[in-house]
Amino acid sequence: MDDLIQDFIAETRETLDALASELVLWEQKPSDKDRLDSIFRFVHTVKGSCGFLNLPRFERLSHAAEDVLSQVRDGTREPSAMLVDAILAIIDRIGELIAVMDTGEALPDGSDAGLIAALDLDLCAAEIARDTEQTVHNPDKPAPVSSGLAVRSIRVPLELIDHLMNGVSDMVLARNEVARCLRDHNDGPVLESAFDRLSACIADMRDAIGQTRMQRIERIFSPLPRLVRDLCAELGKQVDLKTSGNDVELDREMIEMIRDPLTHIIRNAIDHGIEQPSARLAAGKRAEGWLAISARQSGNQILIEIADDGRGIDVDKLVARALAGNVRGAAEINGLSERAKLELIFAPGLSTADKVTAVSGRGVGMDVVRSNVERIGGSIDLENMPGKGLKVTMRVPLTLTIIPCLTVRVGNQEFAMPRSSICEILFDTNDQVRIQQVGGSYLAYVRGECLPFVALQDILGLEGDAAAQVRYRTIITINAASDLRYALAVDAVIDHEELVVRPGAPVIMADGLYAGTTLPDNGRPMLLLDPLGLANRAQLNELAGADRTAVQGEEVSPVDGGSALLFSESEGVMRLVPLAVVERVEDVPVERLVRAAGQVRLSVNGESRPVHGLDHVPEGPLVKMLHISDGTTHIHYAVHDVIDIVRLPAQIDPVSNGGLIGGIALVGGVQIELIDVHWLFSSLRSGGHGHARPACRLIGDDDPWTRNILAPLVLAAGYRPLFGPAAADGEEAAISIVVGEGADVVDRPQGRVIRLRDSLASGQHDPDSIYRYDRAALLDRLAGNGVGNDGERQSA
Amino acid sequence: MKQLYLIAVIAGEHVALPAGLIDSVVKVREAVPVPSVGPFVAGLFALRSRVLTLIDCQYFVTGDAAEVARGQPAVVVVVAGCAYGLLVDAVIDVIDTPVKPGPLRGQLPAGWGAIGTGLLELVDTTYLLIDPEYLVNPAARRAA
Repeated sequence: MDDLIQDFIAETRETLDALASELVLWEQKPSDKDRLDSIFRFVHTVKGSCGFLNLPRFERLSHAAEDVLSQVRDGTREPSAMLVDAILAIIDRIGELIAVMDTGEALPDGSDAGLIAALDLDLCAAEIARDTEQTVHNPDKPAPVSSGLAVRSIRVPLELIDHLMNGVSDMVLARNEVARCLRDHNDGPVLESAFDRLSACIADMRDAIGQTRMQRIERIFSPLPRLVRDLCAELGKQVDLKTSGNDVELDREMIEMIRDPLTHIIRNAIDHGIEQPSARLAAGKRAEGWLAISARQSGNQILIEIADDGRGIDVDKLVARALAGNVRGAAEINGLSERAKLELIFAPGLSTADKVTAVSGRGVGMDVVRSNVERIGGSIDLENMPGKGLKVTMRVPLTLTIIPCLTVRVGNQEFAMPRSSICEILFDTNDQVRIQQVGGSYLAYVRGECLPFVALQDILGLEGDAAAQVRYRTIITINAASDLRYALAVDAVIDHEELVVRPGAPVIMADGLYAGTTLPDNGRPMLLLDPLGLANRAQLNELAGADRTAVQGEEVSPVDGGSALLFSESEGVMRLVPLAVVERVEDVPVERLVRAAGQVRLSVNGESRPVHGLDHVPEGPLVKMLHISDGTTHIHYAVHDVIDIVRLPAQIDPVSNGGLIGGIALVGGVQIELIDVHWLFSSLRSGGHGHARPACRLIGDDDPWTRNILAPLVLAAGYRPLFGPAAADGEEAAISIVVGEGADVVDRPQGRVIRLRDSLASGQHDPDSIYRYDRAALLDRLAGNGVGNDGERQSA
Repeated sequence: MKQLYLIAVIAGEHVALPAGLIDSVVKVREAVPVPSVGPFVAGLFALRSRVLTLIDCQYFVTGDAAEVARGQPAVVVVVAGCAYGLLVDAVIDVIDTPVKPGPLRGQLPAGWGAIGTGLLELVDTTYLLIDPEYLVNPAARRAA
């Protein structure tokens, strides 16, 4: 929000400056239509912006001025000198208020009623206006002084930033070349250290330039309330919109690219998803529907979820439409799985809307949305709850230009593939993989799943190696599009790199196999392959649909519960953990483990982290460790061995004894325990207790005493210490400790308050305060608001 | 009004390229082949941090793909915002002449006919004028 207000201030200032001369000219000649129009535009823009910035004072002022100006424009009112004065007074007031806002202070109290009334009283109005003008200036503050606290900004054209970005890329390459020369010549430590410094500067610069391209997603979220309001008014519906994750940042260009798809999905949700209030009441829902839009970052992807509580997608109707619209053959559609049927919504020219409305239902819709999102390397998933709602999840990469890639080698050439479309990398020697020739084409069976199998060198028409059949090859399974998976053989997978990708020349892009070109650090240009283009070239599209249904027919039970890692615990029990949360498996040397404070702890990058599944440091040089991650927190789970990756059945029998095991899954006829990852995180994060730690804010100077002596005590007492003002992190503290006198003036304490004083005897101060080294009293107070019962105390 | 032309050698013959589109002349160190695209694309090469597409001019004339020799000159042209390197045998000279290019005299053999747009008749010699925009994207012309 702050950004938006800064933008608003900057913009209004700029226009005000530009308008200054117009104002003077208008004053001289009030009938001048052009001047009037530009003043009207200014007032109108201010009114529009402050509507959603929640600046009622501006809004009142600009609204009043706009009304009068439009009357003048229509010719229903004469621009008398008094009227001109009154309008100028309002514009001056806006300018003054902007100046006050820019200093970061709260807007002064004061009424603009006089100014507004002046508009209607063409007589003696200016007098009133002059009187009220004084209210803006606080008598004891001579003039608003720029405090330097306000964020200073300038506007820079995007081309300049792109130019900088290219310059930095050039610099990085030049640095790499110099590095190579230095390695060859080895000119001693002085040169080397100077070069290292230069390297670090360049790396810094690269990051900074990358940052300048980032923008908060708020930019597209903030106009949404208006959009939703207008749509609701048009359609006679009531929708409560909630947005979250406004501060997630992504590339400017990416923001532009997701604006349209997002708007489209929201329109759909309100037009088709959320019912009329009467229908909602009849269905037992609240008359007001809700629409929740949230953004969050997950690795180098941004997830945007749009969830509503409307009627969801009627799959039967969708199928009927698909049959009627001849989107695909009847036999094929009837053979599709539920999921695949739902995906028909993305088929071109299909809509479930009964009639074409002004808002949506023209049949240009979800197919365009999906292709737009896929074009920028993203994906769209649907979660349909018929009658209850629909959740659309859009995943988009963080930036357009920097793409995490896997580099692969075929023959003597290297290619890059976007990692977002790669599922798995396997060797053809793995017993989980079986490749079979069927009717002249190849099929790969990966853990029972049948995928069309092609060799990259065949698609590219590269020279075939005579020994290719004998050699080990690497197989990559690729998720080219939501309904298209295949296995691709390459000679080797080289590395995982983040590459700056630029579009190639039209002659190269026209070929359809490539998504762009890139220049890795070695200075040899590389082509980025387009997984969908490869599939099209190999003509896999027609195959895939048929295979999917065949596999579904064979399976005894539906397997769509995702993949899971099967492992054995140190005591020999086999257990499962959802694969999605396992970041990697690592062999950790036992030297990094220590038993301390009743736990086995692992040192990782200078941090000590608890390890689950060990109660003593084991013997032997290495321990196998699963890194489990929820995106922000990591948990280390010691296992005896990793056995396999299996597909989970859709049906998992839940066990709710509140422990490590969340359910029992039947895999290949064997009952295996499935780890409850949620429990795992909730238990280890709070240091072994079953509850999340309540927060305790330490208010006062952020001095070494607070940080180094008080904070550990608070932590040991079972609280999570928070530093700095509440406004900075927005967290609600269950308890506040005020260090030193008068510190709480800066920040209002939340929850229960404990005051610490600096000296043993400070009778003249608050008698309720505790001396800072009165350990027993302090712990007592903290414990009095202990872990178990803080909830009720807080509410009391 | 004088016009600048770059005189280069393509398939053993001296030709003129209008200087307007030309950015620079560079030496190609190494070209990475691009499989499956048109045979006139000799590959990709790096020029500082940019990746340029190398066009094999000789292919248009002879129908044989050229072997990129290390250090072979390429004329960098910028067409529609995209930079290309035109692989030539050699770059001879830059001439500055008021002479306006004239029409072709009769039908040229297939290869030359496609890339040549006119004749630049100077006092002592005549050059075939080459159209770089055709070289970098022949499909565009055919479609038009």
